[in-house]
Parts: sequence; structure tokens; C-alpha cells
Amino acid sequence: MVEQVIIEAKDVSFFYGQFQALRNINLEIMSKEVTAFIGPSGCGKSTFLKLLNRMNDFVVGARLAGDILIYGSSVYGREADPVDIRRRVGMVFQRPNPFPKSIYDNICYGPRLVGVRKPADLDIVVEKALRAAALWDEVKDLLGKSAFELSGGQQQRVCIARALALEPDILLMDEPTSALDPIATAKVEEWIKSAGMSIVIVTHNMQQAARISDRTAFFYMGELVEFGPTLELFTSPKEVRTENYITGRFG
Amino acid sequence: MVMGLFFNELASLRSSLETMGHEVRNMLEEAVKALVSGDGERAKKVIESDRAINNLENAIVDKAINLIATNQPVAGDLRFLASSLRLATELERVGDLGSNLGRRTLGLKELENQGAATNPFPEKLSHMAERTMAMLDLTLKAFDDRNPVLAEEVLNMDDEIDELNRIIKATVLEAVYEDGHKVAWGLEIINTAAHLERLGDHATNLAEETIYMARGKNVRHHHIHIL
Repeated sequence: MVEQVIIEAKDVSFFYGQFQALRNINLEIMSKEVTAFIGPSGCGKSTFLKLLNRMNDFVVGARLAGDILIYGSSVYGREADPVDIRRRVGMVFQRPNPFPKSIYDNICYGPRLVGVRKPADLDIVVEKALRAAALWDEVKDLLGKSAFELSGGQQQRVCIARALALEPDILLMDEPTSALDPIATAKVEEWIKSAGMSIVIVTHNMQQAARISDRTAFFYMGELVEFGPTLELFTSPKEVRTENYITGRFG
Repeated sequence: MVMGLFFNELASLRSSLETMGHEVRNMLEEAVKALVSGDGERAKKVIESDRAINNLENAIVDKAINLIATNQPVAGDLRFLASSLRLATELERVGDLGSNLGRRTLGLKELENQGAATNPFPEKLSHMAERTMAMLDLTLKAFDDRNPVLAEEVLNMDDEIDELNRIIKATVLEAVYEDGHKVAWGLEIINTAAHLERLGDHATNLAEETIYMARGKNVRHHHIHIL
């Protein structure tokens, strides 16, 4: 498949009251690629990620300038429907947050909301999503069990499967392995690397960004300092601030 | 490893490389002096000193590998560590060539002792040795000063060394054609020039590493086309 721009940020600035969290961000995210956002705490990377599926809508006193386009249509325009946007732009969070339900019902939650009712159809959705999240073989005989009975890594992959069940165009991941042990982290990273879908991941772990992403964006104090192919950014960054951050000289 | 400690280790590795560079340079200077003056004792000392250079290479390579394994370096730190592995190897080979020059000195001395047919030590060869030393000095200065512009000058000097090698080879062959008894002498001289020519190549490789470390641009094997 030919790569195309899936997300385009146009001069995006974001304010929490008087505080400007993002400053004139312009970037293009390509489809079928893993894009990593790195930067020290408070640099704006998570704020920017959340803007991509309107997770900041209810933050009191928040204000956006500029625009974000997904496949060319504005995420914040008059026509935009946040429910539809969140179906197309799935999200996985820092800590695994499965619902207190069976594995099966966790995966079906979204599809049921959008009207998939027939058990046979739901069975197909569940198997497909769990296979896509590389979890099917481990849980296919435990689908009726509570998701809470799974290990942390498996719970996080349930959350990935739950997001995938709606067949999103893009998956946003906000530090998805920071609460996981190294083995569970490796499983999730392996999934990200082999998923072949458009993924945007925020990570504090620079080695993780280097391992799994195609492109990396470095944010610092609300600015996008550098954005480029991951290999280049980690071997020969163009900006001194990037070099200093990734080599641990500040931050 | 705590970052501050890591930076100290990097600085200490850099200083080991500088030390190795200067040890190798001093060895070469001795080798050239022994060669031009036909001093066998000096040549023997040069040959013996190669062992110390080999030990320095091992220490640097071990240290660089350990730092890579324990710190997952990136960007400039990664380029420096990757380069330090190649620099140590290049310098060790320069040391080997110094040792080879010592052996050629002993070989020429032996021929002289046997009363074999020889020509006087070619002036062009002394000149070639001087020019390779100058190249080595410049490449070490470029490394010490982290100066890629100086390193580029080194790359431009190699053609002159190659040309001197060609001239010496032709002159020696001519002498050997005229008097077949001078074959053994001719071989020693041609091999000496070949060692110096290789030395020029290693000086070039060292310079290319300095450029890579400073700019993140790999100019090995194709610098002629991009400069």
C-alpha cells in the first residue's frame, strides 16, 4: 500500500487557561507507520496525542488554535462527530483498564454500542480482534473469564483488542507499557511492531521509541523540536536540543 | 549506569584513544628514523613496542563494548563508541606497519652486512616517509581537536603518497632490470614503500572516522565523489 498522510496538524496551539501547552505544532503522520512522541514530562506530547481524538474536549478552560485533519477532514470542524472520531481513532492508556466483565464482553463492548447484535457476528469480531492483538491463542478457552484474572500484559492486550474491535484507522497509545513488566512489555512492543497499522505512541522510554517506531517526534516545552525517521533521529539528530535530550544531557 | 558516570567513562575512553594515537605516532617516528638512518637496534625496539600497542587496542575495544552493552548509547555518544572500535583497530594496524618498517630496516641492514648488491637509500622514499608522518600527525590532530575540516585535508593528501609509491616502484624496477643482483634490495624497498602507502590509507580511514563522529555522515569509500 502506498503511504499517505493520515493525520495532519496545522499550526496547533493549545492552552490550559493562561498556560500554553503546545506552540504552533505542524506535522504529518503517515498511514501504516508507528510514530513515537518523546520528550520530558510536561513537554506537551500527551496533550497533543489526546487532541487527535478530542480527549481534551472536557478539560475546563482549555482552548485550541489551529486544526487537526484526519484523512483531510477537520477533527474540530462543525461537521465533526466526536463519537465517530473516537471510533476511527482508538486509544490505549497507560494502565490496562479492562471493564469488570468477561474477556468476551470487553471485546464486544464497542461493537454492541454501534449495533452489532448477532452472536455469530460478535464471535467473529472477538476472534478477529483477539488474533489481531496476538492474544487469541492464550485466551481462546478462557473467553468467559473475567479480564481481571489475566496478567498485566494480557490485560493490556485485551484493551488493544477492545480498541481494535471497532476497526479503527489509527490507534493512539499513551505510554502503553509503563505499568508492565519487561516480558509483558516485549509482547506489547512485538504487537506494535508487527501490527502493520497506523499507530501513534507516547513513550517515556526512548529505547522503546527507537525499537518500535518508524518516525519519532521530539517535543520540548510545548514545541515540536524535531520530527523525522527514527533511525536518523537516534543516530544523527539535527537539533542540539534533541541530541542533548536523547543522550541524557538534560531533561 | 548513572549518566554522570557514563559521561566520565566516555571522556576516559577518548583520552585512551588519544594516548594510543600518540603512542602509535611515536612508534612510527622511531620506525622512520631507524629506516632512514639504517639503525638496526632502533628498529628492534620498534618491533618490540608493537605488543604494547596491541594491548591498548584490546583495552579500548573491551571498554567500548562494555559501555555500549550497559548504556544503550544513541546519537553522538553512539557514533563515538562505534568509531572508537574502528579507530582502535586502525591504530593497531598502523602499529603493525611500524613493526613491518622495522623488519624492512633489519632486512636492508642484513643485505648490507652480506655485501649484497644495493643502491643508496632512495631520497624519494625518505620524502614519502616524511609525508606519511605528516599525514598521520594531521589525522591525529583532527581527532584530538574534533575537527572534521582538518580531517578533510588528510583525505586530500593520500593521492600524493600513492604517486610517490608509483615513482619509487618504477625507479626500483629500473635498477633491478639493469642489475639482476639487486632483486633482494629492490624487494625490500618496494615493500617499504608499500607499507608507507598502506599507512596513508589508514591515516585516511582515521580521518573518515573523525568526520563521521563530528557530522554523522559516513564518507568511507566514497569521499572523493562528495567532497
